[in-house]
Amino acid sequence: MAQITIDSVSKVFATARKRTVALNETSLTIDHCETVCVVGPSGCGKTTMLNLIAGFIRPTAGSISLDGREVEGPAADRAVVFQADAVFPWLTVAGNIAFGPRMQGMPRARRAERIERFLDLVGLSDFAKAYPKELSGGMRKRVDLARAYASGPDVLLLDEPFGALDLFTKETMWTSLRRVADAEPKTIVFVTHDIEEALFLGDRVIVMTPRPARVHSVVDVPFGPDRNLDLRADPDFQALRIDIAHSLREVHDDTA
Amino acid sequence: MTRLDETAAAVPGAPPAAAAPKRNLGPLISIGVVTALLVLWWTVTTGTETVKQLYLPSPEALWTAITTLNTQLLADAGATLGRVLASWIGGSALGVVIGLAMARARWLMYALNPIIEAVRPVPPVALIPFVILWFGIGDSGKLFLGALACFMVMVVNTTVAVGNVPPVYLQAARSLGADSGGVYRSVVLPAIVPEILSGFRIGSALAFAVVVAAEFLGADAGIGRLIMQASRTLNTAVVLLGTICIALMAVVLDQAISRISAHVTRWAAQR
Repeated sequence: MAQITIDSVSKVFATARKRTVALNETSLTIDHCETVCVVGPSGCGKTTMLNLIAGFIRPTAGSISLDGREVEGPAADRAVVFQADAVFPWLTVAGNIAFGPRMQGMPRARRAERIERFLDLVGLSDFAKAYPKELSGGMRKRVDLARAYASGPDVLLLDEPFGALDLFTKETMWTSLRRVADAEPKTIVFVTHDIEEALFLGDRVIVMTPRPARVHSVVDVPFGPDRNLDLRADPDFQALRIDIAHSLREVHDDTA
Repeated sequence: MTRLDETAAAVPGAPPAAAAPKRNLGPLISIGVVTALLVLWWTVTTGTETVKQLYLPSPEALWTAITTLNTQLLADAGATLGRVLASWIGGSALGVVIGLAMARARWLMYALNPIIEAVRPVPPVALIPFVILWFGIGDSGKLFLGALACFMVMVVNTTVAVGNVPPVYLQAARSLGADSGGVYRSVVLPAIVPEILSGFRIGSALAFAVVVAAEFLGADAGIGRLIMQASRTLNTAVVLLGTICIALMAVVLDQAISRISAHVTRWAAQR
């Protein structure tokens, strides 16, 4: 089980001259093995929310818990895929994927098995011994995804992971993510500013307001688990996309 | 876009990347320039005798110097090289260790930084009078100066390198289950290797400069002493020979380091 409970969480960043409320009394429950996509205008505190769940920062008020246990810092039960390139350049592709299991003291034989499984799932079996510098941006992101997955977390946190990729690479990444998530379901929180990405990947889409961020609305995505890239041409899909785009524009105009 | 080429080449069954590799003219240019300078040297000295032997000894004079000095040259070169290697390895190692400690413990950074920042801009050679007073003209003073120079380079290089490790690597490692020791051993240490190695390279050149300069002012053996002694009798052939000796040793050491580091950091994007 891996249920995330965000209970009236606020986060304030205070410097000597300025006090910034990044997140304002936000509450949200993310169910076991649910994929929740968080969309919102840039700078709205989506990443802050993710960093809070990851445990990189602590809330100013409220609490975040995973299955009732309060989150007190980063740990192996919550793996993160960042927007920035976080693949370790000094390790080979296989070495990167092995990092989590190695840090957690998994025996060598089981580790090798796991590496092979995830190399295969993200389609990088031929590149096991390659260094990241030999890979394209999309391939490195797949390594990152496989590395996060292979460490065996309960929760996968993705912070605009495909934001820097071109559309075709992005589509491949969506398929990769869905394939990996089918093979080993997890609770996934996916932060993005791409509404189509959110609708294609999410079971639910959370729309945030601009800073100080709160949950504006929650959209249930009705397309079921079997989705292919053509889904985006579906009128229902486009209707939902336009709805979300409207509410984002609305909340944006309110503050602008 | 070499990245794309490499990727393509790594796919089994992919067509070979390039049919006929372009000929690299770089090494030919280097060899050409060196040969031209050697010919010019011979021409202005032995060939036309435009330049007096005192100002620029001829290749023949240099050869005579080599055969006359014979084993003494080897002994002097050996003494210098030994001091350089010892001070370089010792000073650099200590610099890395202290640098790592400073990057780890804030109080140590505050304690040592003012001293390091004050001593760093001072040319080690300026300390020679003190070093002779403290250590005499034996080996220890020269080792101290060479080590000091390398230490300063490595301390700064190491603290900067640790600071340059992208925070996202540290966060990723933590969320993959690494404890703070694991983050240090498996992320911080490997990530700083390229910068450490480039510091070693700078340090090795510096060690030659400092050790030879220290030998000028008094030593029982060493290229610096050889040059100084020869210059007193205006034996410029030996002076030139000593200089060439230093250059050769420094180049060989530098090449060795850069070969090793190219292999160790073959993962790094630019080398």
